[in-house]
Amino acid sequence: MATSTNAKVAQLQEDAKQFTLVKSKSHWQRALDQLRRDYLTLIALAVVLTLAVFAILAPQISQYVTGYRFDEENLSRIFASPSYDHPLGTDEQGRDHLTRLIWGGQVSLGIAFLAAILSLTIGVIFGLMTGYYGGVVDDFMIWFITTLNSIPGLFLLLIVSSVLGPDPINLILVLGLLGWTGTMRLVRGETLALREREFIVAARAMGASDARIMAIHIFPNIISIVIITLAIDIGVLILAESGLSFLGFGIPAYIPSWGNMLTNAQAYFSRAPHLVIMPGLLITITVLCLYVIGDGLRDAFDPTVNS
Amino acid sequence: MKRFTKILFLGTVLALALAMVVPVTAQGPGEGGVVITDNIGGDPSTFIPFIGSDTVSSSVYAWMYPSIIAIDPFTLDNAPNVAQGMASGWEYDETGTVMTLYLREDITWSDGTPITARDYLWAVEAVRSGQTSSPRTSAFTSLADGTPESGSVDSIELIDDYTLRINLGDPVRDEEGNVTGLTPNCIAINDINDVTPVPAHLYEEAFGDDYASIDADPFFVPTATFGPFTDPFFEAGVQVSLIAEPSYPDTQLGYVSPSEWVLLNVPDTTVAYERFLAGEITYTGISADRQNAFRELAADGSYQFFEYADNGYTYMGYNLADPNNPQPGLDENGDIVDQGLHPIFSDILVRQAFAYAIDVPAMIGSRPDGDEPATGILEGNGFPIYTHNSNVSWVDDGLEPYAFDPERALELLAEAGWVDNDGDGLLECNDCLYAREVDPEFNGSPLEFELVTNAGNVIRERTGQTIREQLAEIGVTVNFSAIDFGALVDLLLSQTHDAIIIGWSLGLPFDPDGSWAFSAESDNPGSGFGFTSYNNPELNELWQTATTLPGCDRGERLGLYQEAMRILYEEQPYMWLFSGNVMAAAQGTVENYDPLPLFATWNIDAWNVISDQ
Amino acid sequence: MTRHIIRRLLQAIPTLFGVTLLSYMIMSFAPGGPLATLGLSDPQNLDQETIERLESQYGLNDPWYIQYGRWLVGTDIIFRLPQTGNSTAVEETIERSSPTTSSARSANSQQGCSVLANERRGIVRGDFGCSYKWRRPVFEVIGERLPATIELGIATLFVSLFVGVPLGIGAAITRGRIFDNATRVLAVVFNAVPNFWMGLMLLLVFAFTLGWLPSGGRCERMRVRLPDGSTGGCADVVPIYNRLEYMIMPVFVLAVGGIAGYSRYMRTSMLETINSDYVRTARAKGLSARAVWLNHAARNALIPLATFLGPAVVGILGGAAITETIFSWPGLGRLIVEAVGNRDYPVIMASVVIGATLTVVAYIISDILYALFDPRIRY
Repeated sequence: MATSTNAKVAQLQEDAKQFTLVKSKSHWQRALDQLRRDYLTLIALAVVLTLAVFAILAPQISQYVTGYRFDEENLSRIFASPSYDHPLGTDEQGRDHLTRLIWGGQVSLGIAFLAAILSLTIGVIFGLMTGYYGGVVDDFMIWFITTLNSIPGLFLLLIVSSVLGPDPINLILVLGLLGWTGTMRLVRGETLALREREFIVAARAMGASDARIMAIHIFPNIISIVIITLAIDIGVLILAESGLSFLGFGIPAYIPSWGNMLTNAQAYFSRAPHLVIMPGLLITITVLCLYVIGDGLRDAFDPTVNS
Repeated sequence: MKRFTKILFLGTVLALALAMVVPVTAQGPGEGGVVITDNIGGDPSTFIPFIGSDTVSSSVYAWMYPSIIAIDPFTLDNAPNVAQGMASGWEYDETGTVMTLYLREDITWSDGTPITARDYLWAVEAVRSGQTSSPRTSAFTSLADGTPESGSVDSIELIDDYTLRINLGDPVRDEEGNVTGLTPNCIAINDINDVTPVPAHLYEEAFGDDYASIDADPFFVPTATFGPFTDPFFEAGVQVSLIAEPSYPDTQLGYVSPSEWVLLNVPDTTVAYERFLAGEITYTGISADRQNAFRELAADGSYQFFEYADNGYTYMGYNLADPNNPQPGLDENGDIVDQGLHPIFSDILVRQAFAYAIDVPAMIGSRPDGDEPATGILEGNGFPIYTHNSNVSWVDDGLEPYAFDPERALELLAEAGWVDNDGDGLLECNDCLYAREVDPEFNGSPLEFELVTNAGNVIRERTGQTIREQLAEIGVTVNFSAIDFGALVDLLLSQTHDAIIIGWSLGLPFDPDGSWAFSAESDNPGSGFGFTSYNNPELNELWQTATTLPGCDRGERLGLYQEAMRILYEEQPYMWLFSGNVMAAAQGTVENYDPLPLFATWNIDAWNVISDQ
Repeated sequence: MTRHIIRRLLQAIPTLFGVTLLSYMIMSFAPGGPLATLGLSDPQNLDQETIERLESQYGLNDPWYIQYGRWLVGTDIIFRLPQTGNSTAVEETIERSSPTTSSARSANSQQGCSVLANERRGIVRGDFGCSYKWRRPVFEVIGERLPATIELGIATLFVSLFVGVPLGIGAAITRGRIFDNATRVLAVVFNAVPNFWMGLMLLLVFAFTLGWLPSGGRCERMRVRLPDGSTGGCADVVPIYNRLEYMIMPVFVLAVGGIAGYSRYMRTSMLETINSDYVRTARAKGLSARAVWLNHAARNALIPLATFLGPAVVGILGGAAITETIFSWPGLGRLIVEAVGNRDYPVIMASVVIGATLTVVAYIISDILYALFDPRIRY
């Protein structure tokens, strides 16, 4: 009798497994699962990471793999076609194109990344503060960013970079300091929504300091927004840097960046198309992948999107 | 009779046949088509000739106003009876400081009013008053109120409508700066042409003697002009268009053939070049980096071109004085001022070392030859230049280039006290000139300086990159950047720079005298062109002698200038780089296109742009 | 409704005020110090006495908010300048030290423009000062170039809307199929290409190789006699519908971002509303799919489109700088690039203020449209 009950229980347990309730996953777990199935985003992520690795290793590649410095000229071998010595040919000053592309990646990606981090940091801090405190601070910030947003970005970039000068550091500062308004708005919106939630009210009642609340309770909830914005911002900044180079206000020419390589080479398009195509292709592919990643992340974190 | 008729008949048939085969070309005034050229530089800022200071503006008003003494496009020297020139001859008295200038009596403004000496005098008075923004006040010895200026024209007297008596030369001044006498000067005549004559009757009507109001109306155009084109139409950001002036007499064919001259504003150089190739632009100049490709393209006759060496050069200019404390070369009493030393460039050995370390022939490069590809920055479209001289000069400096010898450069630098003590591959000061004479703490400082040029000039930017890299090979650190031209000029004139790459476009007629760039007199932070702060009394003496040599015989002055050029070559206040190959190009369909060096459009009034039907 | 409009207009004032303040602050950091704003090319050459006289004559010693106030509202009502007596000696010195400035003129002179004139009427009355490079009133200089950019801007807005919205609707309807995927991919790809490169490639292919489209400019270059006797260019005589081929490429480059944005937004928005209750009710009531899609879903999804007008204008003004340079379009974007290169501060400041004003106006219009379209909002 006991065995049949045990067996029935076992059978029931066995059956029950079929109907196991879906374990309620955490926000992150769900997102990761969603991402794992999104092949497009995964490919884009792989591409960007590969490019980033090459960019970071630029000095080593330059020294050990290709054997050229990025400014090493050879005026007797200009516009050379791809060959064994120079797998992607040489540019107008006889510099190795492949080496410069890799260094250019470090410069373009580096500047875009650092500027994006800068603008995100500023945007998050201001967003948290204004969303949390509200009141006069909020009004003032809204007025300030409405003002900043009314001026076309490129105008400001042009003016400020002409005042400050053509330095990579200045470029990072300019791009970063002018790009934080979008993030701030988003973060502020989220903070406003979260501010009145019970757990925040409770924390406050327990005497947690404002900073602690913002850092430990609110911030983790906006990380998803931050990551999405980071991906898209980097893409936008790469394009902005190339636009500034075209107008003559970007990075000094002997320092390669994809933007200024593209600008310099477009005058020689009929003569050496590889000089134009490679930087342009790299910019397009990188920005494309970043947009795809941003989209994919947005879909992953959005609970209303069914897979 | 029968044979005659036959001949007549054949002749007529032949004539008719030829008329059908030979393309119909324009025959008369204003039927030569629209001549279009491109302009990368932006919009003009004025149409008034004595105010203008940029080349875009001058390219427009040059069509409408005569010169008092014009340059002959064939000899490149001042000459009487030249197209659009007023002078018919001149002579000096025995002192050499009084010139009598005779003017052509047959020319009139387009409304029929004769062009007389009064037209020149009106402009002179406007400029000399000092109430306009004209930069040409420097042509005079002093302004209307007695303020001293740097020029040679002291006074002008109207003898009659077609004769002027001009007192000119180097001024001798008393303590107050007033001119008490003049010494003759061989090149003073060039200052006369600085001021352009204007139709006095129309300018008087428009401005009276309120010269200050001229600046308020920069695009004023009188109703009568003198030149092949007139009546400018300025469309901001798009074009400046002038139409043919039918009454202009100094033409090749007896009339002005083109109907319109257009200066098209095209902001991007690549687009401008492509538009020229597509036939939308009639004539243009081809930059050095495109010349080789264009030469091949044009081989089939679809384009015409003409090449000549530029009257000017590109150079790297050093600052020999202390960049943190720019001083004028002379103080109020005319004594030499101690301007301090530049930590690096005050030492002649360093400057000479750089001349050995920089491979200029590699920069000039070579043209493609059969299977050999082009090399260098200019790809063979440039000429070496070693001193302050020009390709159109009557002085042969006879100098040889500094060899490309990095070893020799390092030797000289070591002699100058720059060695690599710590083995890091970079040179540091080890009892260099600056440490010895100014600041012993300077020992150990690296050989590092800022090199600047103007952004947008492709050749200069690339030259700067090459110099930076070549100097890096011997352990010199160069911080190179390209900044906007206005900022560059400010940096230069303020004498706070280290080294810059820039160019000189030398005027015509060519004057081998270099005191405007290499003497203490011209060393004025803020305005003078002597921004190297270089001064050499021996050099000044040579130039002074050559300029004031009685009789102004070129043969006698030749030796003096050659010696001066040799000194400059050795002392290297500039590193002379190269002089460009200018390529003037036009569509193949332009008839009578016949450029002369430096005067591609001298016969533009005869051009005929054939358009296909 | 009117009250709402008035409220929005009043709200715009602090924004415009902020814009002018920001613009002024940036310019005050320009190298050369406050004297540079007078247009002198080298203030170091002046002696101390002249510098002091200049500073007092033009009020450069006053606190920045006073100088800002002068720039804003002028010097004749408030913020008066100290009245110094005879100033010709100062003028002469300035002119001799830097030949590129215009000389100061007497206060009586009416016509034209002098950089050093110290009497202004302030930007609120349209006196933006004098351009250093062209010695003409800045308002005139900008006024010549602004219509060209506005032309491009309006055309771009139209194209973005009338191409982007249908594309988005189509993508939503054909969700998952080729049209949807192709649209999304193309939109993102075109957005990822640097816009100057795209412009140049378009030029090279369509203008120089194929010859189908013109290679630049607003219309065919010409010089014509206008009915009133003056001379004019083609933009004065050729109506816009006859010169559309000149606008095709620049507008395409400018509209790419907008088309991508609008189509994506429409697609997402339609897909959201299609699942909403009122649409399901409509289906349940038996309406055909098409009727549901177009009449209900599309119309409701259109509402927030109005909010894109503001950012779209900002984007167009920014993109115009590069596009106008490549296509030789004589507009405001190119003017600001040239002005930055010439360090022509009056033109730069005025362009920023005018550009921002246009943006603010666009935001106000979009707010009004939003209120008009959304039946839930009633004032």
